[in-house]
Amino acid sequence: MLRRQIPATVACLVLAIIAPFFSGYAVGVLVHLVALAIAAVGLDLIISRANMLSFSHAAFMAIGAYVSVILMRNGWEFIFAALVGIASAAIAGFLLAIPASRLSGFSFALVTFAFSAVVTGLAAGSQLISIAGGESGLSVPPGKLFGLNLFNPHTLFYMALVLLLATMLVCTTLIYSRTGRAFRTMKESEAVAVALGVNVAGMKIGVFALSAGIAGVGGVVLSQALGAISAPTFSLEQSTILVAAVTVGGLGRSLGPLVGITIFVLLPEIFQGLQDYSALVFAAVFVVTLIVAPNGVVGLVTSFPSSVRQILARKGEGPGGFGTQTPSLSSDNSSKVAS
Amino acid sequence: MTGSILDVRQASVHFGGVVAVDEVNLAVGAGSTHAIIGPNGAGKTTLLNAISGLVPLSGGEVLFEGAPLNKLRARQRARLGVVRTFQNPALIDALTVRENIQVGLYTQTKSSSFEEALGLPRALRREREARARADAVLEELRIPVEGSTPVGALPLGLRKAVDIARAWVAKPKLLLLDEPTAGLDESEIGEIESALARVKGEISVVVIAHHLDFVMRLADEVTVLEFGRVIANGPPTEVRSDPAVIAAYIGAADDD
Repeated sequence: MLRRQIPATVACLVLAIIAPFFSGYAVGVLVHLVALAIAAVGLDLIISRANMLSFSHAAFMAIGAYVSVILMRNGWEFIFAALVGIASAAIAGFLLAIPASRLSGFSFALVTFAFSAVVTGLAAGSQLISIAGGESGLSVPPGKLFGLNLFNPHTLFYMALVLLLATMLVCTTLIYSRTGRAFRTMKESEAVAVALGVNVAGMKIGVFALSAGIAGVGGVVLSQALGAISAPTFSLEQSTILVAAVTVGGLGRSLGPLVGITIFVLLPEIFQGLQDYSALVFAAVFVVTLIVAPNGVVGLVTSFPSSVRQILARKGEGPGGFGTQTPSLSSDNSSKVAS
Repeated sequence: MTGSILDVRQASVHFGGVVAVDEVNLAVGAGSTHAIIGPNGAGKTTLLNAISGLVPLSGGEVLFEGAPLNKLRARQRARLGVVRTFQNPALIDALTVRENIQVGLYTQTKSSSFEEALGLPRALRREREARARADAVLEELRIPVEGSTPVGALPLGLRKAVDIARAWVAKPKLLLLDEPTAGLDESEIGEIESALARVKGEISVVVIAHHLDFVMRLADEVTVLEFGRVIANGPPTEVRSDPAVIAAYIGAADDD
């Protein structure tokens, strides 16, 4: 199970090793990337394993960010403010999922879409202006964690990286646990899951709340990276980019969220001159990836060696092919199917 | 019936104006194998769905060990020991045979999702126990496949066998099998039959099947449905010679 985590762990280690050689600005971009990757890991969990398409994950990031920042501005220590912010995002996910878990597919996605609009509307609107700062948003007090100043981009980066690794580890452990198998069965067929004793509605609510909480972690990290937060940072567009990123990276692949977010964070950096056309670039990347690599960039790369092996094997075997014999139930125990 | 584990009394299921199951009575003895047969559209799967709680009854009642099930949801019935399989097994292709069978132990594994997500010792211990139990069931049913084989690589016969193992692993009191032989060749049907014969008498089984020889060899009692109604009920030899059954079912098969 944990070996599936090796590629992502190696990627994080590489980032950790090269980070000291980067400028403050570049590390700031990396923190931004890691914060979004954390939220993307949570989003990938529900899309790829539980078939729940969410357009509200930037809104959960907003809840984590706004709650922690508001508490810090009221004198709370960063660690406690962050924990309450993350819990708030999880609770919001829990409350949203209670009615939404009765829906599926397109209807579920629409509800999350509406939720996102409500959250960003509240954050930017005049109703909560005294708390959330309206359109101008809030400045973020620099946090301190165990005596370390998170205002330092390198310190913040390493904290973010540890959180990303921990999040990926928790998600992988869960996916291959009893609970994970249950919600993966639910994805295949809710009737089968129910008939095996799984509380499908409870499972959906639980996994969605966890996913929202993880997005909240991303939100807290992002708020520290930006130094100021406002509603557009967590807009519906951001939620859509998260969905696009996990799809482009490769749904259900441990490296998928990180690779997808890297592509979508680095693209604007690379195409700075095309600001007005950035949406076109995003759309083009999304469409081309879906056509060329339906299993995402990671899926394409990981399937490449086996495709080459198959082509080489076909050449070696001739037109007859190989390995076409499938195991039969009628064979005896001595001819067990090899794994 | 005295000693029956399942009593279906005057059970009806209506879908709008369509009567799928019409006042069906059925009694399954403890430890017996009860087959339900009938032509396509006779209401067999709908009856199984009603027993397992996936569709509500429009009338009548279902008693399990003497207690009514009507107000219990499907997952609550599963926790009581009423477990079923499906025509389409809906296994998780990305997981191994062992992991798929472990899903059947969902209700019996005592660890929380929190413990599992953090990989705490109790969750890991329970996981090891579940893995061993899944392997033991593969041996018990003599399913010729390694536990570590990805399910996506299996042919239909083995998928059906893994589906039965997934239901069997929880040691249910009543096992409902929906068309376990559909789409299988003779040798695969023979293997499914052997697996069920090995555990016969240990639990009660209700099985829907089209394959008459399979039913006649395996079942202690057979109920025949046509247009949602029971047209015959009794021991296999008796049912096979029933003129109504010959006309409605066997005759139709001969016509084919």
